[in-house]
Amino acid sequence: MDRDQILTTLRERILAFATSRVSRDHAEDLTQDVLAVLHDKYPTVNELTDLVPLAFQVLRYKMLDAHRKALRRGEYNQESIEELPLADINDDPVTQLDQKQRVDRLLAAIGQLGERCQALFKWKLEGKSFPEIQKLMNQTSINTIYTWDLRCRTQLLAFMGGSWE
Amino acid sequence: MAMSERNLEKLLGGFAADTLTPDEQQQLYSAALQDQELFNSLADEQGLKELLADPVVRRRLLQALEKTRSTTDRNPTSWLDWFRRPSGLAWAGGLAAAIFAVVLGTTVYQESLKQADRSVTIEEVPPNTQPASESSVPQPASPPISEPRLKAPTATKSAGAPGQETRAAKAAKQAAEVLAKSVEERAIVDSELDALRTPSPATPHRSPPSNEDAPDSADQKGASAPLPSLSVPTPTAVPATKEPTGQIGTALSARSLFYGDTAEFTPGLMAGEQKERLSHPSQMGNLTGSTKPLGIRYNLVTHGVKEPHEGGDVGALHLTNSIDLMIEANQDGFFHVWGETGSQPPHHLFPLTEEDPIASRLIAYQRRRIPVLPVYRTITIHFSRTPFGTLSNKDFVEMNRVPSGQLQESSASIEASGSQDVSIFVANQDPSAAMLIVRIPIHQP
Repeated sequence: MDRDQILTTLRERILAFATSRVSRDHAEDLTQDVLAVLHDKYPTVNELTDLVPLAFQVLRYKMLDAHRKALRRGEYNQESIEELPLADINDDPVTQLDQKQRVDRLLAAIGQLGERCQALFKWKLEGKSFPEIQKLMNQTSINTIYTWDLRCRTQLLAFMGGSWE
Repeated sequence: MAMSERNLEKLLGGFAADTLTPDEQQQLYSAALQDQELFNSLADEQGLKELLADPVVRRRLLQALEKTRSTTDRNPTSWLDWFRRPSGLAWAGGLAAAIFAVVLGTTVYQESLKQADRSVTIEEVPPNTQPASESSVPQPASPPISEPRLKAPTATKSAGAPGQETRAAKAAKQAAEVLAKSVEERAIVDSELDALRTPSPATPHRSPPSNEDAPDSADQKGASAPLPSLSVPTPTAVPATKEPTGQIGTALSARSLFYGDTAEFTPGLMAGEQKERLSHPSQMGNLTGSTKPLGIRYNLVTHGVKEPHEGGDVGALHLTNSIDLMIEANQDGFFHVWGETGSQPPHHLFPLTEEDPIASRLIAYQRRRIPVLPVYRTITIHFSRTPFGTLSNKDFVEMNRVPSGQLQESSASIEASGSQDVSIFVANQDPSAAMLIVRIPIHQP
């Protein structure tokens, strides 16, 4: 699958996903913005395993940006560009607070996991792959590790309140 | 590695942690492009992926996990936490209950062993003390009485031969034997007490034991076996070798026996009686009467002049007119009166019908009057605890032998009218004697 085919497929998936989250018009705008970024800023990325996660990352940024814009709706177009302060290269306080709260929730959720799930999560944070975890947990089948990880992930998501955000 | 598209969801965890192998990434992303649902899941997972991609956040998470894991490894469960768990509480409770049960069982077992030893010791004491009591009585020793008792501890010792059983096993065995014995004795005593509470009017006839019927040593041993629950003095407390009759007659009087002086019973006969009671628990209705010797009081009332006879026969009277025989007994019983004229065979005077137990019934200390025609030279009174059967003249002659141990005593008293009333007391010092036979000669004028 070449880059154009991947981008075409990505556009369909991104539009469908965005439509499920925002309005149709905004979804099309989001999709267009994502593809524009991939086309303009990452023209050399051709591999599937690189383009897809990159597309997810850009899509998330664009959706968060659209969310912020929606919050500031009305102010965005009324103020002149000259009166706006210079943008901070670091995250804004709202983003920092949001991230801090998410981390705290994640820590609390991980603390509620069972011993095996905590061990599994720890090894994943250490960068160990599923085959490596399979050896660490002395399991003959890697599907066992996949199943355990899926259950642990489901539990963690439940402890997080049903969303990672 | 081939995975179905549905199982590719399992790779989402690796996507967020960015730990997927290139092969897994290829499969997951290719599937995501074909499956909108999987694509949406990956898009949602992107937030966690970014969070975990932050080195600071990842380090904090790792530190938190390490801290939790080290706490678990060093002290998997503190005692307090362990006790807080229901399973821990259940285990602790069960263990405590088991320890309590073991301690309680051990204590009860030791107590039972001590009690068994005590019972065995008590049971072994009488043979040791018996010779002392026997030696204080200047009666000839009766070896057959003590021998079986002395054999009892020997048998006990032989049963518990050292080296064959442990001390605990021997003690338990002795306890079981003592327990069985006490239960058996308790059953006998209970039946005896029940019989005492509800005396039966129709008691079976028991023949009076003669000297030949005196209990042998084996019987005395059985009768003198300790009865812990009996309140009456056991035969072991008194000399067991005294002769039943004729030896303590000087110390007893018919009058005292009649009025219930039972303090000087002959123990040999009493032992025999007790043996008989134990062998026939159903006859316990006679227990009260049997512990009291049979006794009657009579006098002859003449209508007219009454002159006491001055001869050797106590109670013989000179007849001047008709005679009334006044008779009373010290306990409920039955009596017959026979008259003899000398030339004629014995004649039944009372009751009119020999097989009339109601008419011949004599209530304790209730005087009965029997009119006697002045033609008889001798009248004979038979008094028994049990009803008489039909007696022929031959039977009368055969049973007319006065039982041994029978005492007779006359007692004169001045009545309010100034006349002198002579009463004759007849009693058998043998409390087991079932019949009194009194022959009263009547002197014709």
